[in-house]
Amino acid sequence: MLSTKDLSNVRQFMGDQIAAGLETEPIGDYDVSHLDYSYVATCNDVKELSLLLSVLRSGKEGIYPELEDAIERRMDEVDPRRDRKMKPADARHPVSDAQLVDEFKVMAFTRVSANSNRRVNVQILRLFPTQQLSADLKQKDSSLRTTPRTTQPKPSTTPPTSKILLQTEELPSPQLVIPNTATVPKPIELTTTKTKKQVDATRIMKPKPLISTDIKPPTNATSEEIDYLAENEKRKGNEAFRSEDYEEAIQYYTRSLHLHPTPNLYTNLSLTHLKLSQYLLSEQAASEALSFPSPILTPNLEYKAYHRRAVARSKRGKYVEAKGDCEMALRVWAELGEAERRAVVTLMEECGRKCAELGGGVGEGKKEREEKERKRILIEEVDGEKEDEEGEEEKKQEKEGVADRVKEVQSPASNKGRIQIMEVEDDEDEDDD
Amino acid sequence: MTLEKSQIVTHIQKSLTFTAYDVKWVPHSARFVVLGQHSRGTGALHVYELDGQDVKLLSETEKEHAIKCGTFAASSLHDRHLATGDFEGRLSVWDLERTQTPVYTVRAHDQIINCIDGCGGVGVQTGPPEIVTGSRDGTVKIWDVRVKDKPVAKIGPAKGEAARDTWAVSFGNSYNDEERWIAAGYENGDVKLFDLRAMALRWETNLKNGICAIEFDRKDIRANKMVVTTLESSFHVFDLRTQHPKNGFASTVEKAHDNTTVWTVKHLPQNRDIFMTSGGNGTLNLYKYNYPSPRTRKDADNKHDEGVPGTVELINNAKVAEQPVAAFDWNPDKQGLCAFASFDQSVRVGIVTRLGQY
Repeated sequence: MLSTKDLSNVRQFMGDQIAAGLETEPIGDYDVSHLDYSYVATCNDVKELSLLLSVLRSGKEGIYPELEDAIERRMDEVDPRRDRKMKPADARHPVSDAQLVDEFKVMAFTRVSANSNRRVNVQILRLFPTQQLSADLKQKDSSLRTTPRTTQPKPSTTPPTSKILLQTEELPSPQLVIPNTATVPKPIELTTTKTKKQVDATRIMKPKPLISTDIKPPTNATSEEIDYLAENEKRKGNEAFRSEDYEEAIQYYTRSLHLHPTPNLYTNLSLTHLKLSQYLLSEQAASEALSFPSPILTPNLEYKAYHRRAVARSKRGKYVEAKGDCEMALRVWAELGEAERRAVVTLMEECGRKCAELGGGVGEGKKEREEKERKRILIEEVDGEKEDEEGEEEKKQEKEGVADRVKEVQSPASNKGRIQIMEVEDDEDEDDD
Repeated sequence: MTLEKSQIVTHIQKSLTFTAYDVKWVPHSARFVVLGQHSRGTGALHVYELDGQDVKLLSETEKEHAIKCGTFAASSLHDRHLATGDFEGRLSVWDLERTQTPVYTVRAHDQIINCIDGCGGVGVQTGPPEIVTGSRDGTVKIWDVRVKDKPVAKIGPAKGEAARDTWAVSFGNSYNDEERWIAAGYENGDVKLFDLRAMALRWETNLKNGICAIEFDRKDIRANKMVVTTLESSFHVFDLRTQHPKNGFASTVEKAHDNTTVWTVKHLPQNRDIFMTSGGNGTLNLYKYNYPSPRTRKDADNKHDEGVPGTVELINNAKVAEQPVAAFDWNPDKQGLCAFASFDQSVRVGIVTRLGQY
């Protein structure tokens, strides 16, 4: 949204730009390792921060617009009264007057705020065969026209199934499914009339802003409207899944879950996590799906949930439990197709073999023993279950040789978590020999 | 999995007493609106309802000026107000129960409004409800019904530049409260993509032939792909996920409709990878887009990412009229139900079968 402050910045920029020309400061000595988010977040020296900023702007160490923003924000925190110089024209992209007058000048007015009260009535639609084509469309239409415009807010706005979410012991709330949103910096608001070239270059290099998972249904929304919105989000999730955008699919599914949780959503979420090799999250989603009571949880969905949980568990080394899930999967759905049955049976046999190999007479796999050991060492600091997931993710990334910075960005928030991971990795090394 | 192809079937045909320029389903109902021009030059706004094997005329209104285009997309589900653009450049928003006076009206342009689109209404959660109009005077203006008389934003050629007729506009990338893009197509083949959050031109290209229609596959997700149709029987599908700093967006071109204009393109609301194009030879073509296996790759210099264009597969086509099919609309509730109007002064309701298999 363009505010009056932004407009004045625009005018100011246009003026300054022509006056200042290309300004370059000489760059003094600096420490390359200080070009780091965590250092910037704790640095109190404004001079050093501005030095680092000029280094970044010169592009000597590479182009990191999000780090530049982080430094600017830190500078504001440290010294709010500092002289805010508008960014001079980038030395990388010298701009002339002629280029500034783009072929299309945009005259902007303030955009009205997005928060409008919507009072809406919606009938949920059900698909019928062609004979009833017009009949149920008309029914929907007439209910929309006859119900009064303003509706009382529903007495219980939380749908009953959300209570189930609260009762399950070890499963985290849906928000934890997306660990990345905390550390990715917010996208920069472009307030200047940059030329097309500038716009293209800087916008491509910025990280793509993530889709917000904090979806709130509009005030006074009926449960049918919430269902309609949830269905829309689920459909978007399915489409993203089909085009292999798995992270995006997870975000849409999570939004739909916030509006109206259903077992189908959880099984979809479980499969998406499997595709991303996030086996703990996949297992948790499948368990959530299974926690729905019987009429809502159809046999088809039950089979899918058991099967996916079995796959997730076998990948994590919990072979005995995986075998149990396979057995359940084969039992719950009478109309299980032949190909699917064979797949489940194969998985079950493989789990059985692994169990026998690892001396699983007591019902423990290698991973189970490791988990217990880890828990013994780290139990005071962090919840064991979460610890396991971090260990899993970190180990994988270590093996793939991912750059340090990326690893930091991707790990779940706190410093505390990161320290523990180091310890777990040491454990792993010991076991491997 | 069934091996039978989807079929395009004309269910009902209705003769009109005027030339229809646009057809739009009223959301969550069995009614649709037909907009057009009487032979005496006045505007027509007719509301029909599906009634068994026929359509029933519910209401007909005559307006002072011919109406070119309309959309429901900017109004809430309860209101379902229709925004129309007419030949005189006037943008009006109507409540279909009371069509004598518009809910909102403004003299948007001084020449005909060629195209209109809306965003932010009908159950979509993201961003303010807005209407965009494109006119023969070469400008694209964005309106908010809550703001009187002035557009929220205006995009036009710089002083001294020739004005090119705007023939098509579409909203997209509206996945949160701030982001929104507009794609505009011009008669000289320019396609320009504007970012409304940055208030800047994001990308432009020229497709050599006048642009007849543009549509993003979905308005309320991160921009995924966009179909642009042109005069000389071709359309382009752009993959909008990856933008290369020099080459822009990857695209695939298809020829269709036998050397005639491709008038419209409309994506199926229930599946963003299926779309229908309508042609100047009276045919409807149903396509499916297939994504390539890696959607991005490194460019020739191995520095930047560029998108990989996918493939378009013709599922089926059908000749439904002798004249160009100038307007087409999918019903947002029933998968496969559609309505289309052609220049032979008739409107038809069609059904596309077996779309659930894709």
